[in-house]
Amino acid sequence: MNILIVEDDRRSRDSLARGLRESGYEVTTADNGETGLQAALERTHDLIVLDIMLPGLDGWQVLERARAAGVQVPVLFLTARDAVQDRVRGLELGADDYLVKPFAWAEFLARVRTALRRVTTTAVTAAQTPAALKEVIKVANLELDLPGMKARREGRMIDLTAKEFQLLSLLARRTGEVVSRSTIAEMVWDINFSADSNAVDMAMGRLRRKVDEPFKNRLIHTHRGLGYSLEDRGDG
Amino acid sequence: MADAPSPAAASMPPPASAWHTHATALTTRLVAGYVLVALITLSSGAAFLYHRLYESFEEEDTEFLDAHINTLRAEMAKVPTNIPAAKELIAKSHTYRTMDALFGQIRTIGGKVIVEAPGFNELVPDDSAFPPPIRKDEELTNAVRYRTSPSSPMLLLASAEVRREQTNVLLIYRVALDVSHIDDWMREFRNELIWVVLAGTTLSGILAWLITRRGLRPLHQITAAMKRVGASGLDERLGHNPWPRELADTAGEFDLMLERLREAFHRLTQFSADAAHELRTPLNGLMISTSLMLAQDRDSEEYRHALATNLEEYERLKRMVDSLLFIARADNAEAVLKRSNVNMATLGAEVLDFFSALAEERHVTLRVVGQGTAYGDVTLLRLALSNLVSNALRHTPSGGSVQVTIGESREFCRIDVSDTGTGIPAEHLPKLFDRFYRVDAARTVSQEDGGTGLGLALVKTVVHLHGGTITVISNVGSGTTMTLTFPSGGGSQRQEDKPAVENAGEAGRNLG
Repeated sequence: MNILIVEDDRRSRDSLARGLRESGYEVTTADNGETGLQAALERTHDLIVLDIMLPGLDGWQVLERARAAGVQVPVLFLTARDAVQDRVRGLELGADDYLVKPFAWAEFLARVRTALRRVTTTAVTAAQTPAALKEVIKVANLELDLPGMKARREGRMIDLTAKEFQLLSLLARRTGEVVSRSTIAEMVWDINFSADSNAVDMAMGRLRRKVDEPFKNRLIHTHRGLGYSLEDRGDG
Repeated sequence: MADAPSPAAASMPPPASAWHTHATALTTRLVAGYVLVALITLSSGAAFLYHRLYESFEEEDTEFLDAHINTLRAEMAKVPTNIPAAKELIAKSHTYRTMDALFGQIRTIGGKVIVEAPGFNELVPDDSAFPPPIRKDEELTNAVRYRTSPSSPMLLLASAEVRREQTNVLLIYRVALDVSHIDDWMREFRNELIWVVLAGTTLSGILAWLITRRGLRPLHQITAAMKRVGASGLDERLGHNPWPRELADTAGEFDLMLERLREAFHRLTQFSADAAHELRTPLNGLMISTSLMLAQDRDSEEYRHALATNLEEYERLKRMVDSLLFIARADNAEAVLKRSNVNMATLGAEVLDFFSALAEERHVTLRVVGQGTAYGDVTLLRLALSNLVSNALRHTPSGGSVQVTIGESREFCRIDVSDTGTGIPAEHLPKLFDRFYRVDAARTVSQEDGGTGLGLALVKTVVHLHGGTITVISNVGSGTTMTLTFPSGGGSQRQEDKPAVENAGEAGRNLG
C-alpha cells in the first residue's frame, strides 16, 4: 500500500509520514501542489492525503487536474477550514473524505484505513468483508448481532442499553483502532464540543463492567489521552 | 486590554472623488433646475409683453385707418365734387403720425382707377392682396398685413366702399398704410427682449449656482466632519455641531452607526484579547511540561504520561478553538439553522443518557419531566442542553439531583435545567454568559472537567440564533435553575433552511 502525502507544513508532513510508515505503509511526500500533482500522475498510489492550503497549486486544483488526467485514487483532504461549503466542494470534486485540523493521529489513521478499505471492498470476496459491513461481528468470544442489537459473550447474553450497544458496536467495527472520546461522544450521543470527556470515561467504565469484568480476557482497552479500542490481545 | 487601533487606519476610507462627482451632480442638477425656471418665467413674460404691444399697435393702426377712411368718406360726402380735395388727401398722405405714410387709391366697382397716390402700384402690385371692401356704412375692424418681398416695407391694407353723395355712385377706396417703422421697432424690441431673457437667465444661473453652493456647504462640512471623526477612531461624534435640520438626521444616524461600530469593535477587541489570554494558559502548561520532560532523562513511562497529558490539553485547545469559531460565525450570522420540530423530552432523555454514567459515579440523580416540542436545529439544541446539564452536574455535590423540566405554551417551548448544587453568587449572574467568564476567577479550568470557559457563551449563542431567551435564577447553597425558551414546534411558519450550522466535529456521520 503506497500513500502520497501532499502537505506544505514540514512538521505535519514528517509526523504523518512517519506514523504511516510505522503502521506499515509505503509513503511518498510532496511539499507543494506542483510536485504533488506530478507525483500523483507519475505513479499509482493507493491513497492521496492532500492539504488544501498549499503554495502554488492549491489542493482543489491538484485534485481537479489529477481527476482530469484520469487519476482515480481515493483522496483524503486535510484542512484547517471547516466551512460546510468547503466540505461540499471537496466532496463534489471527488474527494473521499475530509479531515479538519487539528486531528489526533488515531483519527487520521482510522480515516486512512477507511479510505483504503473503501477501495478494496469493491474487489474483495465476502469472506474478507471488513467489520464495518458485516452483520455479525466477532471479537474473540464476543459476538455482536448488529441487526438484532444483541451482544453475546461465551454464548451468554449481555444486557445492554441501546446506547451501550451502539457504543460497543462502534468499537467493534473499528476493531484494533483507537477511537477518541470526542468521536465516541459524537457518534453515539451526537454531542459535540463536549467538555465532559469524563462522561465518556464513565460510560466506558459502565460498559466495561458489563462486557469485560465477568470474563478473563479483557477486550476494551484504554489508551491514555487517545481514547479506547476493542481488540483481542489474548491476555486472558 | 490593549487600546483599540483606529479602524480607519486599518481600512482605507472610500475615495473622496466618489462623493465629489455626486455633489457636482447635485449642484448641476439644482442649478439646471433654477435656470430652467428662470428661462420659462422670463420668456413667458417677454412673450406676453411683446404680444400685448404688437396687438395694441395693430389696433391703433386699424383705428387710424378707420379714422382715415371716415375722414375720406366725410370729405367725399361733404364736398361732392371735391375729387381734387380727395386726391390731395390721398396723395399728400401726411398724418399727425408723421412716421406713417398712407397710400390711397379710389377706384370704381369695375376696377377703374380714379385717383391714386404716387407709387401706389409699386407698393401693391397685386390687386388680390386687398381684402374685400367693407360696406359704405361699416367701420373698419381689421386690416391685412402685406409686403411684396421681405425687403419691401410692411403694409396694412384696407379697402372700403365710399359713396359719392352727388351721384350716389359707389366707389372703392383702397388704402395701404406703411407700418414698417413700427415693425422695425418691434423687431428691435424683440431682440432686446431676447437679450434680456438670456441675460436674466444667465444671471439667475450664476446666482443659483452661488446659492446652491452656499446651501450645500453644510454637506461638505458634514463630510469633512465625518472624515475627521472617522479618522479619530470612533470616539468623536457629529451630533455636537448645530447642523441644519435636514442634515441633523443624517448626523444622528451617522453617530448611531459609529456607536454600533464602536461597540462591535470593542467587543471584537475584547474577544481577541480574551481568546489570546485563554490560549496562553494551556499553551504555557504545554511548554512547561514539555520543557520539563526535556530537562533530564526520564523513563519511557514518564514520557508517555507527559505526552498523554499534553494530548488532553491539545484536545481542550481544539475544543476551545472550535467553540470560538462557532460563536464568531453565529455572531456574524453565518450560521444557518437546519430547523425541524424537536421533541425535547426525547432529546433530554438522550442527553441525560450521555451523562448517566457520570452522574451515577457522583451519586447525582438525573431526571427529565414534562413534554414539549421546540422548532430548532437539533444538533444545536442538544449542544445547549448538554452544556447546561454538564454545568449543573459539575456543581452539584453527591446526593443531589439535576432535573430537566420541559413545558410548552403556544409560542414557546421552555426548558428548565435545575440542580441542587452550590449556586452562583448574585454578582456573577449578569456576566455568567460572557465568554471566558468564570464564577471563580481563581479557579483555572481544572483538568478534570476539561471546560473551556465557553460553555454558557455557546448556550447563549445557540439560544440567540433561535430567537429564544436564557435566564438564570440561583440561590447560593440551594441550587441554580437555568431556563431556556425556544420557539415552539408545530408553528405555522415552516421555511426549510438550507444547511447548515458549521460546527466542530461531525454530527450526523454514519456509524463505522
